[in-house]
Amino acid sequence: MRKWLAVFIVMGMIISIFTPAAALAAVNPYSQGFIEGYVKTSYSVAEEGLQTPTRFVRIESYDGPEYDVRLHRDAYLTIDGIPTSLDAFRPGMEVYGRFQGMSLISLEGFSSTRVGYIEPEQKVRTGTVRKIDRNQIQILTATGEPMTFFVHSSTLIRKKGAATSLSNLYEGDRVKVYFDEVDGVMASRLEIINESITIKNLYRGTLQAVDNVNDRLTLSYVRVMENGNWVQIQHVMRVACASKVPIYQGSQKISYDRLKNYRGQDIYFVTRQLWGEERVEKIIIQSQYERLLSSQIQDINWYTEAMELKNNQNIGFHDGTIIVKHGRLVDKYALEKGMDALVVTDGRLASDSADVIYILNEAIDHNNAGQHYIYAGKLDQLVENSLWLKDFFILNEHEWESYHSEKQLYYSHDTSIYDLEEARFINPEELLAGDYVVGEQGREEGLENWHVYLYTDGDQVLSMVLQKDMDSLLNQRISAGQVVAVSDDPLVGWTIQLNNMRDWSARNQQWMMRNAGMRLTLSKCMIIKNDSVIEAADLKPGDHLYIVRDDFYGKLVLVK
Amino acid sequence: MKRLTASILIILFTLSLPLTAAAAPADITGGVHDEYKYEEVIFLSGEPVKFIGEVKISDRDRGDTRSLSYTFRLQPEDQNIEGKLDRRINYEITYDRHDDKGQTIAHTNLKNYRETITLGEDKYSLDDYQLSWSDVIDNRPASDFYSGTLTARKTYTINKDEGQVSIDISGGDVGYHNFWGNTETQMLDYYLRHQRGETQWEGTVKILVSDSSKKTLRYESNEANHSSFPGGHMRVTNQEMISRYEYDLSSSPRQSGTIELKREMLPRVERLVVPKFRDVSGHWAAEDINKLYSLDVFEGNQQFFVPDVVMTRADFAKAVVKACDIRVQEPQKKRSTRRSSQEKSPFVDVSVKHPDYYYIKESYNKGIITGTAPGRFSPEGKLSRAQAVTILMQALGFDAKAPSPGYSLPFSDEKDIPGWSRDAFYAAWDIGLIRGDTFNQVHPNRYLTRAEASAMLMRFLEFLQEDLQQDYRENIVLYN
Repeated sequence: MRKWLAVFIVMGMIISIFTPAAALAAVNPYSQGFIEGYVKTSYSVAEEGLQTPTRFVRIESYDGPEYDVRLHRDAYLTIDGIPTSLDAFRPGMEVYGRFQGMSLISLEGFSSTRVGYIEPEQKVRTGTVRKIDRNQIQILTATGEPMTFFVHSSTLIRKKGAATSLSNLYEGDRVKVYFDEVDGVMASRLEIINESITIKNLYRGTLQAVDNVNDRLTLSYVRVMENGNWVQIQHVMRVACASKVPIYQGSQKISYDRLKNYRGQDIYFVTRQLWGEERVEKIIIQSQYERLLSSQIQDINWYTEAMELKNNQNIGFHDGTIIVKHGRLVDKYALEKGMDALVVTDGRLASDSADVIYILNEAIDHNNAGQHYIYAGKLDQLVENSLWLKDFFILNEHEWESYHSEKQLYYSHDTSIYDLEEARFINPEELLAGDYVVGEQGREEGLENWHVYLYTDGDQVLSMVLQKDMDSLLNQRISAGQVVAVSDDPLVGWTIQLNNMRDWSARNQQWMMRNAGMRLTLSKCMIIKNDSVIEAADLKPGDHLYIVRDDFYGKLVLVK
Repeated sequence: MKRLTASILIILFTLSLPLTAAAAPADITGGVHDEYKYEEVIFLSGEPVKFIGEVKISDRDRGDTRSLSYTFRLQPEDQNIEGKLDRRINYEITYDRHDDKGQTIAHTNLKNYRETITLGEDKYSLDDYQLSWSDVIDNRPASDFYSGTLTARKTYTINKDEGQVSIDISGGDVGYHNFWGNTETQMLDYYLRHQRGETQWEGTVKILVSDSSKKTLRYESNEANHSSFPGGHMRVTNQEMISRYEYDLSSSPRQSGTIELKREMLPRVERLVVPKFRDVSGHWAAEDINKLYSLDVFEGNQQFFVPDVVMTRADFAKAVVKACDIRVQEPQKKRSTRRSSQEKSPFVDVSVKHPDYYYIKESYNKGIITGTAPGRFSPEGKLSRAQAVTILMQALGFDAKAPSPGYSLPFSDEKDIPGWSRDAFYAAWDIGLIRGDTFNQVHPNRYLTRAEASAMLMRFLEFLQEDLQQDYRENIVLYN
């Protein structure tokens, strides 16, 4: 008997040593205070003396046994952290429950397999572009917070319902950005607002009435900024102005309710065309005396919010200053040293601050995300998908720069090729089959290779204009301006009337404001918009242009 | 009144609100109208012709069905073009309610149609019109949101047997409808085929049309100095319709371009009561408090609002119900005793005699509130920021938009956010209702003062007024 007892004790000791404590504890979830396993079923039982039935859930614990567990009256039921009812606990669902006494005080179910998942493009942000630095873009969201995101090669960039590239994004543009992940900073899609973002006009007028029911301003003695000067356009003007439009007097923000207190005072305001009417975008109330200056910004002191112009004059700026760049309303952080500007100042000479800064600069690329070039030269060789130029010119910083070398460039079926002599588009096969590049025999017959203007993205030709004779590039001038009217003249073909013209001065290395508009003939001109060739008829009043021209004849026009 | 050539008849046969938004473009033509004129662009002849004239709209709502009929009588705007448009279209919309899911499916059926367009020598008669159009409406306490898909085909004969023009229409609509505003935007793609003898051309027209109305609060100061009040708020209801046609027709000569139309209704003005609290002037939330009082969201005749004491849960629930203009079925006063004896409160700690009982009950029924524990609401309990955010997001139904669980929130005190309010915090952050302070904290468990609750409620109303309109109109029309 003693022998058997000793055997039992030794066996018991061995079992207690080698049996995991958890396994022992799992035998009794009530004692360990929790239960883990799978839901088998749930049900309610009416109990005597209780108004509401008692709820039970049958759980199969991980180690096998099933338990019918009572739920506490105040039991907190969640699935993946979301409060729910007992009905949502389906058989087979994994659960974890905690006991208070003999009842479950909480029961947590687990269902989601993809943690933190959102549907593709479910996270959307809208805002105004503040900075573009290659593929890094900063926007100011609708709540006024800056936000930075990135675009990558697979980001879908769209403008006006069509694909475009980042080089067509401007500071001041409004964008809608889609993300695939909750905390993602890589945009999956970037939608750029259509042309309605560009500023139509800059006005100065005397405020007569503020209609805060119809959201309209009435002004008298209205002048519009044209070619660097105020031009009176109409005696009375009524213009749409939403109550959310930013209104400033100096750097002080004024509420829309208080604007009527400034009746009789002059205000500056910019408008954009929206749904067939002009709408005010920003207002600044004139405080003292106006001066008009056209100069280059030599330096910017961000601490004192002042800029030093080329004539050594210091002009202050602030949040209320209306700043227009590339035809878009931008914030003060868009100002840069070296920019040429038309400035409307307010104050006395010693303490002038800018009410309006109109940036005159235009360029082929307006941000460093694009690498577009304009070439001019004579075709040297032409093979399938490739061409060579010899002794060619590149438009660099608004001046033609000559290169005495060969340059290979590439074209494709997406390249727009225009034969200026025949005034028609041709395809790459016609380009190869034509006499645009002549061989020995052709030269003997007196034929010569043709001349081209090329608009390229890196070494890829986006559009090409062919003509027999080379233009004199020395005669050409680089200009920028805004379209006022487009017409098809029966004598000279398509022409445009331009305002706010400025020409690049190589001597001053500065954009010079012209004090008059001009008419430009586009009958032999390559017009490019969003990297594609368009027809003159597609130009619209209000378009901002970068122009290569020979006197009144446009040679190459980029729509900005 | 004699000049009133456009008249809009809205006949509501029942008292129930229409399930779709009141502001909605007339038909699927891209036309816009105000009280006076209607205008749309027709492309049947191969070039855009703008017609202008009158539209009569009859809207009969019978609860589960709605009958909509449009009668157009238009002429070309250009006096040099001879022409006329007569169109009468009847639609019947049937509503299939899924109350358990809080959703409704609306089917739009074509009942009958008649259309003739004369342009110069040519007469285009609508010979056949097929339409299939269905919307899903998510009925949330603060707002209904809807989205629909449609496809249609119209076939016109030219001078009976000289030729035919067919228009294939595809697209859809999106919209919302709440007390503070409603917008419907239609995105339509037309594909036209014109065949007349040997002449044939095709074309596309992209139409974006939006009808939107919103109520905003404006302050009007009192010009007279010796007055018992310095000024007050007014509620202004603006309604405008905008439309953009982008067309590319291969007719000879090729026609392409963009036409934009816009019409505005005369705004409706309602002056609101003037608050005269003695302890609000100069407070950072004074404007929000005064606006909410003017709107009757906060009640009482007391001189003191006491902005810096904690908001109670009952007061906030009632304010949300009032701000969203949710109808509360209060019993007749003289029968109240008998009814209250029959009435059973969903919460053991909210008596049917509680002054805000019906508001609390309605917010519970609508799913805006769920209580602090099963069967308990803690009406006089202090309102925490987490509770307030959850109530507002449940009113919008946006908490369901949160990612699948396990995500992190961009706040430094994220760990303090209770599990039951994480989705609400995500949704509120996503729509810009809340943001972190300078330390990027949202203080979810801090109690909200009456002033802070007022500011949050006003931002919520701004979302219903402005942000939704921006999202359903500008963010669609200006990006497409």
